[in-house]
Amino acid sequence: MQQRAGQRPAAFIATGLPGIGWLLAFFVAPLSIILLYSFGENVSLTQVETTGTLENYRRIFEPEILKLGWRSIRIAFISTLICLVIGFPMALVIATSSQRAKPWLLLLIMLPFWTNLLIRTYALLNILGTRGRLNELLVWLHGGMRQALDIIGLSEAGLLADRFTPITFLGTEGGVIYGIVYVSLPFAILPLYSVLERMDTSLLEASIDLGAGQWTTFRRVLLPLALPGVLTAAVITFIPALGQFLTPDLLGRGQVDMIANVIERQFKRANDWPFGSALSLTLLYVTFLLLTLRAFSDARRARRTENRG
Amino acid sequence: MTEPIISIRGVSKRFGGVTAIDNISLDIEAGEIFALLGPSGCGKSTLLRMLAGFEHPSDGSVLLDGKDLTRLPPNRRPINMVFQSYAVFPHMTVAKNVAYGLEMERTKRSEIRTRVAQALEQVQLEGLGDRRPDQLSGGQRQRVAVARALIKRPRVLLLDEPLSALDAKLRDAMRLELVKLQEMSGVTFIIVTHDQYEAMALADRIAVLENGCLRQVDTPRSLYNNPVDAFVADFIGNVHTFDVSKIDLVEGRMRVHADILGPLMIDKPIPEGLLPGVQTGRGRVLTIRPESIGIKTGETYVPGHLTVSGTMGDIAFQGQHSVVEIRINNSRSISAIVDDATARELDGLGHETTVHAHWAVADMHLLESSIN
Ligand SMILES: Nc1ncnc2c1ncn2[C@@H]1O[C@H](COP(=O)(O)OP(=O)(O)O)[C@@H](O)[C@H]1O
Ligand SMILES: [Mg+2]
Repeated sequence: MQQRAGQRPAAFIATGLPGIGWLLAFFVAPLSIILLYSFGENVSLTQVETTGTLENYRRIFEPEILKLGWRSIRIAFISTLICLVIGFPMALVIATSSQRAKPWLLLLIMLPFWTNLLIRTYALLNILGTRGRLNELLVWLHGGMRQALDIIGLSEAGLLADRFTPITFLGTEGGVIYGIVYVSLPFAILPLYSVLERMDTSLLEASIDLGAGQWTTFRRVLLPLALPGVLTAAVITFIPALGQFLTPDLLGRGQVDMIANVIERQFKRANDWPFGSALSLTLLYVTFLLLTLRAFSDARRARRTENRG
Repeated sequence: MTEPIISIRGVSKRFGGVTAIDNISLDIEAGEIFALLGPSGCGKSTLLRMLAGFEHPSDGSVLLDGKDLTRLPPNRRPINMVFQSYAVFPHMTVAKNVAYGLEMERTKRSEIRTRVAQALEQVQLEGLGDRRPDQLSGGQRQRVAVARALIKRPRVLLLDEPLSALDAKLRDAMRLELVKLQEMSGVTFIIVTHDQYEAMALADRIAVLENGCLRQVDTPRSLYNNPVDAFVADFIGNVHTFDVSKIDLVEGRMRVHADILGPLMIDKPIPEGLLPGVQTGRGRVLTIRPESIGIKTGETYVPGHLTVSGTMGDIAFQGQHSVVEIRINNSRSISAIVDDATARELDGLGHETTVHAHWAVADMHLLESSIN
């Protein structure tokens, strides 16, 4: 039998050392510096002195920052919701497709992962521009629809405008959400897929056998059983979405700043490292809070399954 | 005869290139326990799922009370199913599970409550309504599945391998309980099983399937006594088979040459297509059941019996009776089932002693051998 690590401290420390070193060097040390900075003040252009001031944290509650924070949460929330609504059926399709098709479909989902985020975002710029591909597609659809109306003799009914006015995506919240959904969707699909893939299909059949329709079966059996996957997908989408800065920067055209854009500015143009540190840590606390809630819900579920009689 | 409750008419089911069910026609009577019996992979579950509506026949139709069911989706059929894995909803309490089907019918709450209580009592789960499925044993979960299906008062209850996941003790108890439940409810039960003993103990009638084809439908006793071919004979109980090499007709009686048995006069109906004169017996076998075989140590003549000599092999004690192996030659042995007293007597002889197996020629069947 293997001995418990606690009984052989030397071996434990030896095997744990690389991990501990890694944590110290890349996690604890930088975070400590940030923590110290967040209680500091700029004394010169390049020097920060830790004075123990709470001023930086107080500034977080200034209306301007709160507004940005609230917008970040809103954008992240809506993006997450859209990812779940689009991702669930996609995950379901993959999970129920044939064993041969599955790896290929998963590959298609994962493919964007392996392309540089910057390149992908620039590609989106091309698609979402006022004269971008998406608007071209809409113009084409609009033309087609007008022709169809002409044919059935309804062109004068005023159902469609003569000319299509291009929709502005860039620089709007909608455009930013589009970009975030695009980036996050694979992260949302994978946990949904893994829970749906493991689902016992006879449970769904039993529901239908007992007289339920498709929708009732979805609402009363499939969704409740997929809930752990839905929560994981939500957390895994929401947290990175909250800290997005590249997408709002490029697709938002500087008009839809999120909290991470403000943080970035503090470390660069504004040169206010103490305030930037306080903001970063606050974002980190929110993330931890969400992860803790998620862990609690897992623990409750685990306790329930442990109660086997 | 009354109208059958379920009528399966020329049903086939193909999955791509695989024919899971091959042109089966079958009537099931109201109020009976009907078993679909066959080895694993022969298409039993597929047939059951076509009755439930989860699979659609490639050909043929299924009738319930004379009306075509083929186009009706599962949730509109007055037929319910107990799944092999039980499929009890893990996120609902026992009572919620049982109530589910009634809620789908929009039954009144007060009625649901009384009927759930009744259903739980019927399967001896009273007081466990608030439990979650993960707090139940396998047997209890199965009762939940049965109660959940029966509470809908279906015309037919389908059970897919209901006992296979239970341990031996529990299986016997549950088998009796299923029979009792069927009698109480009067619902027609269709049970899928690969276990011949289970089918014989439970069912009023059994359909034996092989490779998606229906071999024979009859009562357990008739299947045992008059199997149509060697496959059924071997599946319902056990048989020894002896390949027939030649059949002559001698003065209107058959003289059958089989394996180690030599020529035997067999007084059975002459199979169709057997013309007078010398005939090959290809594809036919003579069968005898181990329980019809006796063993003696001396070579005394028993009228109407044939005797095969061999040496004592192993004796397997099985309580009431024992199975005795007799080695005829290097490649062939037969087993006989004997009572305890005989077994003890034979046990004293030791290996390699010459003994004589004997059985009544009339107990043998001349059957077509199974295709595989
Ligand atoms: N959904 C399916 N797709 C393809 N082949 C199937 C499917 N369901 C069953 N089969 C095939 O049909 C045959 C019969 O299966 P099944 O009805 O489950 O047998 P049984 O229940 O008697 O063990 C098997 O060869 C099985 O592989
Ligand atoms: Mg099966």
